[in-house]
Amino acid sequence: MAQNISASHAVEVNAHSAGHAEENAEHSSENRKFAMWLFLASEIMFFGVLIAGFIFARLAHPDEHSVLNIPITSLNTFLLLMSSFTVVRALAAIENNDRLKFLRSLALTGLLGTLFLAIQMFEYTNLGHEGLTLSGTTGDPRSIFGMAFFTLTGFHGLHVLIGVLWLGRVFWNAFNGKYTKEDHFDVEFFGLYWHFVDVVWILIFTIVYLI
Amino acid sequence: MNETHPKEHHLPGEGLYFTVFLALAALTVTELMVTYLPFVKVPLLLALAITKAWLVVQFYMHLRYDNRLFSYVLALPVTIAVLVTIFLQVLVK
Repeated sequence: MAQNISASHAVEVNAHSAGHAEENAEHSSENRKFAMWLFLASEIMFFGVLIAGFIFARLAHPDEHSVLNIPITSLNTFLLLMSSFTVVRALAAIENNDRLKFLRSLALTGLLGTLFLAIQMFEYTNLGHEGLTLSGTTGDPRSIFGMAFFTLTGFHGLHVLIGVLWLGRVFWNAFNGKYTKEDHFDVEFFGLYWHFVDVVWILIFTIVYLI
Repeated sequence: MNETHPKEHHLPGEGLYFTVFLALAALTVTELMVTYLPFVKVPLLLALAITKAWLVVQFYMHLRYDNRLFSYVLALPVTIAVLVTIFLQVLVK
């Protein structure tokens, strides 16, 4: 009798744990998302300070920004905006079990991110030729504008690079069938980071190049 | 204890995502045009940029559909960053 009770109790406990497992999985997703938002909050502080420093440098040297190339940077802006669309499209695709669209959208996101980096490096080279470098400007070697510009945009570019590498890993997993309609949290998690990098660029583009 | 937590994934879907993308593109083009205006361009550009950022955060990052706590967590550093940016210019002058 005692054995029967403990056996059925064991079954109950297992069912109870399984229920909790599903709950815990959702809670764990929620927690991980929260962790990402906390991390992004710290990144906001990081870029906020770099932007503040840039604004100060810009006010101290009001003419040096004229060497910046708006058309090329506008192209970069569109590339990143598109990449945000493609990455969220990938998420929508896997939630609809459309694996082909999912993979294609991820690949497109990576391509757009890589293009952004290539164009950014091209812009940096041009700026170097025009006299704007990390250590100063040709006309004014004590100017901090170059430092402020390259530090801000350079760290952003580094974030894009990290995103592209991370995306490579996500794509590899996706290609090998790791993600399903029911379980694809990694994709959403990565997406949060990628969108944030895009948001930072939206602000950088406006404050550094347009204003 | 087997309550099923409904996943708050009434996800917008690709149609809305594309609409947001079009809005972002249109706002960017507007920004480019606004750069030709004189002084008023600064607050206008900032407003446009903030709108774009808000769209990405609310819809692409799903913040509008998520736990309210995330929004509050985000509001604090944004506020501090803005204040720091403003005060750095004022103090160092």
